[in-house]
Amino acid sequence: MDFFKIVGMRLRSLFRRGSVEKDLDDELSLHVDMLIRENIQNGMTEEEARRAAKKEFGGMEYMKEECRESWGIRFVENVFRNVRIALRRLAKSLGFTVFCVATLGLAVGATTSIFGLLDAAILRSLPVDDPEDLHVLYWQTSRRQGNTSIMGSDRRLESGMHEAAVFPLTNFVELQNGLEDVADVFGYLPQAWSIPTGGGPTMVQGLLVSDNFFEAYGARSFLGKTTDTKERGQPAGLEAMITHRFWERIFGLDTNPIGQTVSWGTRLYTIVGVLPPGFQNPHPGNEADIYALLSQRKERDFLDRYGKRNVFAIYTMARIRPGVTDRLLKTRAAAIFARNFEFDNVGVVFENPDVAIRDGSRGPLIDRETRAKPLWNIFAVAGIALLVACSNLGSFLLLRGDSRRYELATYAALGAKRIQLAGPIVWELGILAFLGGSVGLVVAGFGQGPLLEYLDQNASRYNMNLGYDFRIAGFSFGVAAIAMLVFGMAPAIKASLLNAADLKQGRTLKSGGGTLGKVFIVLQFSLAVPLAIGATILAKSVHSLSEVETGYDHERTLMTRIGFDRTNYNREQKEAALNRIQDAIARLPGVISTTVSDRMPLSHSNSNRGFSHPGVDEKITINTQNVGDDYFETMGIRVDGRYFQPTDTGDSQPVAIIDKRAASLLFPEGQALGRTCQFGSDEDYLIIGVCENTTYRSIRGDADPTVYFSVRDNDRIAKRSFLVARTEGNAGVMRPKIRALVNELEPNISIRGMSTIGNLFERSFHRERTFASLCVIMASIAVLQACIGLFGSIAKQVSQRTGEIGIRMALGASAKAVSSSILKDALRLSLIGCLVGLPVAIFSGGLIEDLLFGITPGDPLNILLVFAFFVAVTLLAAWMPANRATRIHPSVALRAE
Amino acid sequence: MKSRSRDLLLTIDSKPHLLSIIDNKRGLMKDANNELIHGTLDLLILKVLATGKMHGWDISKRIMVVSRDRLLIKQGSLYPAVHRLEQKRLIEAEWGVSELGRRAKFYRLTKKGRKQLEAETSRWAAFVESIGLVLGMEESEG
Repeated sequence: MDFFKIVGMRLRSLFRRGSVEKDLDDELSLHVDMLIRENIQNGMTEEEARRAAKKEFGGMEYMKEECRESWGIRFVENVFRNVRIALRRLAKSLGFTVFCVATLGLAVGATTSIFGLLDAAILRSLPVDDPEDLHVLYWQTSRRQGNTSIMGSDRRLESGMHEAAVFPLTNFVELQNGLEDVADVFGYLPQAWSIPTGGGPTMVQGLLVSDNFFEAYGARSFLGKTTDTKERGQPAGLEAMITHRFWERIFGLDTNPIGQTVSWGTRLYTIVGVLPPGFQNPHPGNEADIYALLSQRKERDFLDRYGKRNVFAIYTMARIRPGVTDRLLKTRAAAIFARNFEFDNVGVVFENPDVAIRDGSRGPLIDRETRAKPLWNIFAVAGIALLVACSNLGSFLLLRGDSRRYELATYAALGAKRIQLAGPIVWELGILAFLGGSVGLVVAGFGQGPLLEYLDQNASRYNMNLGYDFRIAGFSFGVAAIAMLVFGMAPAIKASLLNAADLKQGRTLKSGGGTLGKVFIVLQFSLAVPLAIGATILAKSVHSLSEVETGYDHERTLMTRIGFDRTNYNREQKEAALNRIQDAIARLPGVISTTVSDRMPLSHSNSNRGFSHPGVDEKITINTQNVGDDYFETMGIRVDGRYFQPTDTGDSQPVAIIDKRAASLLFPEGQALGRTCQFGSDEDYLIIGVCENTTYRSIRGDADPTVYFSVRDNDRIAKRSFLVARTEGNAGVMRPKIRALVNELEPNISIRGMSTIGNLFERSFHRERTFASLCVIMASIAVLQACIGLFGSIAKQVSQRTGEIGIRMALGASAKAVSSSILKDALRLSLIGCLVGLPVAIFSGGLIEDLLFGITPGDPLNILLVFAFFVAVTLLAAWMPANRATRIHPSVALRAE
Repeated sequence: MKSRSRDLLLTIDSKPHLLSIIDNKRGLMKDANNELIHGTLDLLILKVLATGKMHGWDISKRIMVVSRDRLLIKQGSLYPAVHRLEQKRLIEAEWGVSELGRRAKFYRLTKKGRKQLEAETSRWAAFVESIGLVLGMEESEG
């Protein structure tokens, strides 16, 4: 109490400074002095006069307070008084308060942390100048033919168009020059850098950027200058910019990084500038720390890889000039893009090439959308859980309100106004909302990081700007306040409608939450149903996914990527190194066989060929894979015919193994073995084997036919290779052994992501698994809360119907009849909830269809099971109060009347 | 409730008339009487200030003198009322020097206050008239 008084005084003096108080003192003391003067004139001694005046004037402080009150500053104190009273009331029922705050806080915290992730991932504009002027260029085509390599996310639109945001390097330069008068076209190419540090090489992300990148993107340097060349021309040496974060981590903020060097492979870059803290590059989820000029990479290797017109690698964006329409930009860009295929050496045909201009204020959204999809799903689940929690809170607040009816009716009878009746309840709600919002904010603060980790195993790569800001705080308190307003106002409104007449009915008022209480219970069940159905179908999907036949041996096959990228091996040296490694691994005890491949299942990179084949009208597109001799044996893929052999050298007739899909496509009449096919080249390949179909792109299956060539025949075993080993027993045991062996043998070769095929596939449905487990948790909580709500309401009803039940039993109703009538009431509520929730469940199930596998949201058996479960838990929740009702003795019941 | 209402009314006896204001902020209800008294004190202050600017002491003295010592405004009522009127912009204040050479706060009527005074005066007159009519009614026995 004293605390609030003091705070009130402080605030008051804050608002009204000292002079006002002095004025008041002056004014009143003048009056006192006049009074004294008058008294003396009337013949009193000064002493008497003073005493009389004081007496007449009365409580000076009280009067001052009256005056202050007329200034309206009591408002602050009134707020404190109301808060104090509400706090005292809440403290009295501490259990209830803690329950409310915890429920609200957890639910708000969960939604807030997901909102935080969503906000960071897709909602926030990029922190640059005028982000609304930024646009992303996407090329589109209805159909493409020939060998293409797309080094970025691409997707197929619903219209059937294929699109991607990456352009060929040469075409990018043409776009830059050709669109100069309408937009600043800029681009970037994500690259991983290996930085030598004290504790061995560290991988960091880097972006190779166009010459105008920073100016066009709208970012400035924090220290030094940017790499932009517009004003100063091409620099003589290699230059790079680093982020503030990188400066801090690698050099320490005490050192001046400008002029220092960082090396990448054999190249040495001079740092010319530091980007401001909080800088974000346009590529979502890419936290590149080093930025270097794309135009300075002129070495053969690089140009061989990225310089061709059929290699799509540069993300292309544009800052549109004032007054230029998107339409104009699109038309102009489309014309320039179409020119990319007018060269003979391209070997690629894009039908109906076009360019789409999309909003770039948040960067190229292809990746973001894919990443945000699961977040939206989880956001929806958390939102439903929040609703369940809130309606649960709502019904508890309602019961609490009912228990105060008598007290409030007394106030009403004494003449309290509506607002005075409802006021305290509203203040309590406000405090609950505030506390709930605060707890939610804390929960979100702690929960965001782990949640992100949980959702995405590669989360550390993204290093999104998480943490508190006013948007997150606003969201948290906003949600808590709205929740309380929607679900908590009912008791306040009810209280305000009380009048003196209610007092007469007094304590015997029927309540139990009334109709509204029932609505809350139905609502809880109807929300719990979609969660429960979602959880079950997802769990079943995950189970089915783990049972999929992929065509590989899951447990005993280890695969790993081998990288040469930090070293300078030529092709022969690479091959020799690979052979040495293979031989050594094959000799390890426990290893049955080893092989190499240029592709790996689920690696999101594939190469395909389009060609015509005699006897087939359609143009055929087929996946190609170059594998070592023992590939099929090592991977556990069954082959009809024979494997590749050491005798299949470049000199003999070229051979190929095709899978069954390719066999039926190329030789519809059957019998593919022994036949030949050119596969788009000018040589006849002899089909020596037909193998089982395997899963390559995705565990959900793919229909892409595949042809396997021998690495011996093809000099395609290039930069990226995969090493495969088949083990006798547990493949996990061999993992460190193989790693150690390779490190010892070829220290310059890096081994990344070694895992069994089984793990590889399991990781590919990590999202489904995560989401399923999250749904199971949320659904359990929702069901539990719905049951608690039901239990509370039924118990209350029973205690209020004590009299009625007693009379019925006195009149001969059996205990069974009484309890079954109560159980029926409960069942009715939960079944209505189930039926209301069912369409919601089926609809929302449709939204996560891409996560489902082998089951649909409308699966009748599943729905039946869920309903049976709900009936069971309803009976369980209602059983205790119902049972208590049957033990009511008629005499007790009558006394209750 | 009844005993409280009596306190609110003007009590008429040989002593100077007592005008006290009930404090409605202490959880007691406002009622018609209370409003009336509030209004009455405000009306008196406005009327007095219509004759020229003066400070708090003068206001109470003036009311006492004009009412021939029948209306004594207690300081505890006067100053809150004056401050309330000032907040409502019905009167405005300026600091000056009193006849004794002391720093004093002088109040004077604003335009808004003058309008309010006119409106209140006619309302009061109507009220008194209607009370008079009722009280002037013939009493008959039986």
